Amino acid sequence: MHLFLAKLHSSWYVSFIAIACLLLWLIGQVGPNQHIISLPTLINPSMDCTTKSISNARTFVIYSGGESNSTLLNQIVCRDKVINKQFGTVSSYWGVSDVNTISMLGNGKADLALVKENIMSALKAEETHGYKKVAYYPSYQSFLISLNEKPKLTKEYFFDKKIGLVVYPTSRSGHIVPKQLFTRLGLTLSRMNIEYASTHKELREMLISGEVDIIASFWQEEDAALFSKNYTTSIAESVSGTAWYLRLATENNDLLCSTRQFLLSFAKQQTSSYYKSLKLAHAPQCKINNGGIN
Amino acid sequence: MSFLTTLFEKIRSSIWLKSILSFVSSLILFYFVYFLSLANAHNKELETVKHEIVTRIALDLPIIPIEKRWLNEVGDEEQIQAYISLLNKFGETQGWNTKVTSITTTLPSTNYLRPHYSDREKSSAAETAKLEYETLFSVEQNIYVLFDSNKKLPVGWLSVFPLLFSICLFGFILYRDKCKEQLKPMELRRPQTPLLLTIDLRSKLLISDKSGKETPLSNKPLCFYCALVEFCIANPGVNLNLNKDLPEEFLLLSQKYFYRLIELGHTIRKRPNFESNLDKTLSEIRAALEDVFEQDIAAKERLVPPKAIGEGSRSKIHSFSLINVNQEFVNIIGK
Repeated sequence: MHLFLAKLHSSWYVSFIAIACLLLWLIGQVGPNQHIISLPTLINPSMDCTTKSISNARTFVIYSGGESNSTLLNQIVCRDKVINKQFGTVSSYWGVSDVNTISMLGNGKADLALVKENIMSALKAEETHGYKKVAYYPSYQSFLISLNEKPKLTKEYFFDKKIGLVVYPTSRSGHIVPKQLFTRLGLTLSRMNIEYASTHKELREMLISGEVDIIASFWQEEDAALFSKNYTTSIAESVSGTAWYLRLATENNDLLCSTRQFLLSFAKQQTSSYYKSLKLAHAPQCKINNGGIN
Repeated sequence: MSFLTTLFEKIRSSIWLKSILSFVSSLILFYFVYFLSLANAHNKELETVKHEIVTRIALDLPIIPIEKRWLNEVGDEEQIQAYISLLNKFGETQGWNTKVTSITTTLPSTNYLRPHYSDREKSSAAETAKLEYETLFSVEQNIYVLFDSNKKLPVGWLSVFPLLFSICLFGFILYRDKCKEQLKPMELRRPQTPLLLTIDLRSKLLISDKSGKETPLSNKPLCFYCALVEFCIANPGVNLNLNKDLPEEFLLLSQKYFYRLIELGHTIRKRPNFESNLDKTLSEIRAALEDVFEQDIAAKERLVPPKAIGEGSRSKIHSFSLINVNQEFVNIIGK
């Protein structure tokens, strides 16, 4: 046996096999993906554009929702004459969440922001940072919408119904107003059958697919194609819409007037009838007054 | 062990058997090593990818609307799914084998934590055990990132290398043995015969057929040995004793060979007395054969006249006849 091993040990093919095994190990290591790069930031809810005043270090910060709308607004603002004179960069941020809204306005970071009035009043940012309402969307009614019957506002009616709400606790028509109604009717929210959606659009899709029986939302002209106005029940007469706030610490009338100007042209390019009906706040110092295209 | 040795010998003796056996065994070994390495690298890749993904998710946690029960937030499944598809889309562009299936605050089944659980719960516990997930220990809650990995080894064109190496080895062994065969002396390359010894009367030489070694032997022992071989072949099992007279037939054979030597011109002397000095003759023969056969024990057993062992060289029962001799073993040239 020892002789056998000694023979094996001294044989040339043992060396060959050993080297081959080593090479094969190395080849095997090469096969799979070798260069795994770190994931970059996948969500980047902001964009910048530079104006003609290259040496100007000031930035005009816009905070509003929706990537496509924010991009559009960013382009419009970047072309504006007054902005080009006063700012070097226009920076848009559309990562809207309640936490971000509070930081943006509470810290006075945003120069122009699309915010709900209830949040603005809660933050008292108008007094703290000099935010001024420049334009607003009209007030609207809040409805319970159903597909095949008119919702009744009684406690019993909601017992066996699946209700669709908007997930964000700052949404008025889709969250606050219906929850206020349920509390007023003496229903326990945690015991109710509530499904949440992230947007009003998604809420409508849920209703059509039959995932929920009733949704709480606003009524817009486009809805007539999908739902019947007869099968809606108003739960709040007037919910104030969102508004554009401009931070004006000084008497910067040029900026105020041009902001009204570009917000109007931005509203014109919207597809939704509701967002087209932007109204300007009263500002006697500007030429265009209350030129809401309605 | 002897079985192993014989098997080894058998394999050694056949070039083709040897080559094919090395081919097959090396192929198995090479593929084993290759796949081991491949699996090792693949697992490493999966681990690294998972680590990268988990790092990204951990960094993005503040902007992912995941359920936060401690804040009574229900989370936004839709947006999480959009985020996951962003992750997976990036992974696809990189050719990653790992996909995120969900980011959640509860594992699909945590029933196995209960002390008494039903069979159904047991099976779902098994399901959970099979799940591939990483845990992020976040504020007030754990977040589980569930993965779906493609465990299949990426067998590409590189997988032909083990086969190539085995073919190389096969070729080398075959080529090398063929070369060896070519280099062997002519007489060794002859097909194997049982021939052990050639006695050449013309040159008075004993030649080993295996090693080719030669040793001269003087006239008298040469004739005696030739006669001994021929006599023992003719009379198997015969008993030749030092103390008895040699058989007539034996003496005639010896004389015959001696006459042949005279014919060949090796001697002109009258024939010697083959019966005298038997001991001396035998020991000369033994010495010569010892010289010819060297380490070849098998040949010695057959062709060296046995020595008296133990009972004394003058023992009455000792026989110096060649017991195992056969016509095939010895070739006498110039008879």
